[in-house]
Parts: sequence; C-alpha cells; structure tokens
Amino acid sequence: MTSLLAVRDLGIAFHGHAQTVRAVDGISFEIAEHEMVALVGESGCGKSATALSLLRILPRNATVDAASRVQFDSRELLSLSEPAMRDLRGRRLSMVFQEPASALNPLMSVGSQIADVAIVHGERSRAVARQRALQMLDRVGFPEADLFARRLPHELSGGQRQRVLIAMALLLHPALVIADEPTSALDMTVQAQILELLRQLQRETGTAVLFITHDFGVVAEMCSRVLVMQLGRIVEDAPVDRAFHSPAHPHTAALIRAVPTLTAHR
Amino acid sequence: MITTMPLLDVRDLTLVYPSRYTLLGTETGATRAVDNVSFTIHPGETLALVGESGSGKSSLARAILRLVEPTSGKIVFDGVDLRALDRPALRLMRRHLQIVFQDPGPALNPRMTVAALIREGIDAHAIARGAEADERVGRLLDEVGLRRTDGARYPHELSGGQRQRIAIARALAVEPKLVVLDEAVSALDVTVQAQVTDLLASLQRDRGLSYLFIAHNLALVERIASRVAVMYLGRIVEHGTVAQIYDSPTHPHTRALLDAVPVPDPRRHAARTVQDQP
Ligand SMILES: Nc1ncnc2c1ncn2[C@@H]1O[C@H](COP(=O)(O)OP(=O)(O)OP(=O)(O)O)[C@@H](O)[C@H]1O
Ligand SMILES: Nc1ncnc2c1ncn2[C@@H]1O[C@H](COP(=O)(O)OP(=O)(O)OP(=O)(O)O)[C@@H](O)[C@H]1O
Ligand SMILES: [Mg+2]
Ligand SMILES: [Mg+2]
Repeated sequence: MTSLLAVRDLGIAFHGHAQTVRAVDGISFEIAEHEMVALVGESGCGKSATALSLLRILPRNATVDAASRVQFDSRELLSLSEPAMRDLRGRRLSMVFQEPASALNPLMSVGSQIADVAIVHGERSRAVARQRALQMLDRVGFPEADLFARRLPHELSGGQRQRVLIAMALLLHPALVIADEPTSALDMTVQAQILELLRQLQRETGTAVLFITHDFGVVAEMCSRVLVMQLGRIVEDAPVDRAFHSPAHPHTAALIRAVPTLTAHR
Repeated sequence: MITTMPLLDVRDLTLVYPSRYTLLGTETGATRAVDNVSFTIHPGETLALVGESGSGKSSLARAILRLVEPTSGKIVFDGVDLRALDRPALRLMRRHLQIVFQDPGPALNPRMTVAALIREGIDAHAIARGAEADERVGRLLDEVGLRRTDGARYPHELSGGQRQRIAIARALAVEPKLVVLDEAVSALDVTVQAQVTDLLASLQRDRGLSYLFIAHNLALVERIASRVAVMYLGRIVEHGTVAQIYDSPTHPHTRALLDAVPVPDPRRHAARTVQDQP
C-alpha cells in the first residue's frame, strides 16, 4: 500500500505567556489511502497540535522543528507555498475541528459556509455549490436541509454545529480527513449515522481518516490501527485488535481499563 | 422515598425560538425547542438528561437559568420562583445555580488568566480572601487534574479538554447547590473523565451538591446518575431510575439510543472492518 501521509520527526513547541511547552516531541507515523487510524491519548498530550500542524494552521505562538517532515500526496507540506497549501485544504486534506463554535463564521448562514468550500475550490455556479451543500446536509442528518441551511451557527445545537463542520470537511471528498473529536457532542444514534457516512465515503472515494477520539467504542468500530500518544510522544502504534487485547505499552492498557462500559441492557 | 422539598422544581416549561427573516427575505421557521417539560431534582441527587442531538437539552438548561427567557412555565429553585426575580436578584441566585457549557471556549474571557477566571466568582461572592482564596484556586486546579502553574496561562493556551476543566473548576469554585453540566466531560479522555466524575461524586457526598447531568454517553450516565430523563423533540418522553430506563425502556427512541452504544472491543466489529477493504 502506498502511504498517503508520512510524518517524520514532527516536533512542535508553543511559546506561551508563562512558559514554553513542547507539545509534540518528535513523532513519526504513516497513513495509507483508505486507512482509518485512531489517535488517542490523555487530555493535553498533543493530539490537536499534531492535527493543526498537518494543515499548517497552528496558532502564531507555535513553532515546528526545522527537521520535521510531512509528506502528503507525494509533496512536502511544511515547505509548500501558502497558495499551494490553500489549494489542498478542504479539497485534498480537510479537518473537523474539536470546538465547532469557534470554527464557524458567526455572521454567515451555515448553508453558505458549506457552499463556499466548493466555490473557493473552483465551482463557478452558486446554485450548484448550494445544491451540493444541501445534499451533504441531508447526509449528516438534516432531512429539511433547505430550511436548516438558512440558520446562523448560534441557532443550532452543539451536535448540529458539529455536523455542519463534518459536512464542510467531507463536501469535496478529500483524500484525508483529520477529525478531531468529531462525534464527542453527538448522541449514539446520530453518531452511528455519521460513522456510517464516513465508511461510505471510504468505500466510494477512498477517503482516509485520522480519528482523534477518546471514545474506544468508536475506535473499535471504525479503525484498523491505533496511535497512542503520551506527553507529546507516540508510545504505541499497533493494529486495533492488538492494542485492545495485548497492548505493548502500559499507558495503552491504562487508557482502555478506564473506559466505562454499559453493564445493563446487554 | 425522598420526602425533602425538591431543590429544583420545573413545571410545564416551554421555550419557542421564533422564526426570523434571513437577508434574502426567506423565513427560518420557529422551533419549539422545549415543549411542556416538568421534572424535579432533590438535594444531593443527580438527574441525567439524555436524548438525540437537537432534542432540546441545552435549550432546557439555558431556560432554567434564564440565560434565554422561557416562553411559559415555572421554575422554582430552593423555594424561589426564578421567573419572578429581577436581573440583580437573579445574578445573586446564580451563585447557587451554576452551569458548565457544552462549548466552554466563548464563556472564558480570553484576557484573564486561568487563575483569575477561577478566582472571579470566589471574589464576587466573597467566599474567601487573600491567601485562602489563592489556596482554593490551587486546590481546584489539582482536583481537575491541572498543574498549579497552569494558573498563570491564558485559556487559549490550553488544549480543548484542559479548557473544559477550567470551566468546571470555575463552576465549583463558588460552592453552588446545583450544577448543570452540559456535556461537560464529553471531550475528556477516559482517565481524566474518571477523575472529574469522582470529584463530582465526592462533592455530592460531602456537600450534598445536586447535578443536572446532560450527556450522550450512556455508560457514563449509568455510573453517575440515579435517575434519567430522555428528551425527544423537546419533550421528556421517558423518565425513571437508571435501572428502569436501561433494563426496560418503553419509548422506541430510548431503545434506539441504547442499541446504538458502540462496544469497545474490536473483535465484535472484525467482520465489518475486513469487509470494507476495497
Ligand atoms: N496556543 C497554545 N499556547 C500554548 N500552549 C498550548 C497552546 N495550545 C496547546 N497548548 C499546550 O500544548 C499541549 C498539547 O495541546 P493539544 O491541544 O494538542 O492537546 P490535546 O491532546 O488535543 O488535548 P485535548 O484532548 O484536551 O484536546 C497542552 O499541554 C496545551 O496546554
Ligand atoms: N438560538 C436559537 N435559535 C433558533 N433555534 C435554535 C436556537 N438554539 C437552538 N435551536 C434549535 O433548538 C433545538 C434544540 O436545540 P438544543 O441546543 O437545545 O439541542 P440539544 O438537545 O442540546 O442538542 P445537542 O445534543 O446537539 O447539543 C434544535 O433544533 C436547534 O436547532
Ligand atoms: Mg484537542
Ligand atoms: Mg446541547
């Protein structure tokens, strides 16, 4: 299998107001086409920082090590020009942000925001772009998409906003979606629908997904491989089955032991 | 049998978001987000509120605190009719009735340090002063699993889960009687989540704190709540003890929610993962 994404020695530091934090400390991993990989680990271990660095949208106070390499689509992302990077974002490589409220434009209807993704990437007809947006809204669980598309972000529930972001990220069938806690605000029935949509896209267009999640149920159901992060390092990179049943690193075992499972209703 | 007076008594609460005209002159349509909802929470009790995305859980939470004005209904908290209070009286009351929002980002002033954010309520309600207040802030940081040195940082310098824990610490700092937790631990990894829920449980034991716990993680709800209310399209369609709801759900929506819980074991999904390889 060819690797779609190859990350080598990625290191990230945040130069904060009170201290400098080495959030990511020299990690390497690969993702193949079609592959669904989970990235798990404790709060603050560097998952979102890793995700943001791949799209090159880290906050200004962050620096990436000069020796870090990120190969995507056979190109070196860290030295790509900004226009070339803009062309990739949303089209080949997209992201579902952990905090949807801050990722949406508060003044623009959600329908227009989704349609804009197509327009930015060359769709000339607004009507066509809007139609695509409505279709995608329908697929993320809004049958009355036409009415729903008129709303502003603050007029939606938390889980609805999260699904709007998912619709934006999937609109152009990118090769890789980085999904940062994409279902953390969704109830189980809607979550199941979103996971099924991701599987469909994987089958239809070969979309690969890097799933950042703390939900081991989702990991078990969706992913073939798990990366376990701890304090900025990857401490385990294993097939899902092995990570669950014979983890090599004690931190993996500790994370899995802490998962609450349903005892009633089984 | 509980014979004490309820701490919170919500009667026939309704919240309708009116329709609005868009820039293009079309209408957005009105939403009946909360539709005739009644329930009680007793001192020292945890009521979990579950239900589909968009079913009205956050709207109900905001309406109880009058962060959005309910359309009709009654809210009695600690014997006081909240809807009869003017704004200053309501603000004083909020010391006892705290909320942790689903998305904590916007609620945290970006110009204040973490320590100042936690300390704000302690000062405003004169709960402690000087070194004692500092010590309280430090202890809260310990309790939610952050380092005391994190107090000098700003909220945007934190990870998503760290920010959420600041919002929780802030709510607990004023020693409220009831805390509404709107998906407050949903973004936390399981180890930190267990630490925070243990903290909530110990505060409940020691101080008789009550919680309205909004969550979609049914395994977690099973672990920490005594009663569960299930919301669907703005209404509470089912309401009972955890055992009643989980073992013999009567509403089809409740059954669907329970059946959709993913099992954290890849062997039970093996067939599906293999079949998906093109
Ligand atoms: N803008 C920033 N400035 C300074 N430090 C930051 C900044 N953003 C994140 N950090 C720090 O970098 C570390 C990694 O943060 P990151 O957001 O990647 O964590 P995470 O693994 O996504 O955690 P969570 O599960 O809580 O979202 C944390 O210790 C965090 O406090
Ligand atoms: N300010 C608003 N204006 C108009 N409609 C709104 C507004 N806020 C929420 N709604 C709508 O009200 C309904 C209930 O939303 P609410 O946020 O209460 O749902 P929720 O149960 O908390 O969902 P989630 O689990 O996704 O957070 C939804 O259909 C939502 O679109
Ligand atoms: Mg994160
Ligand atoms: Mg909500």
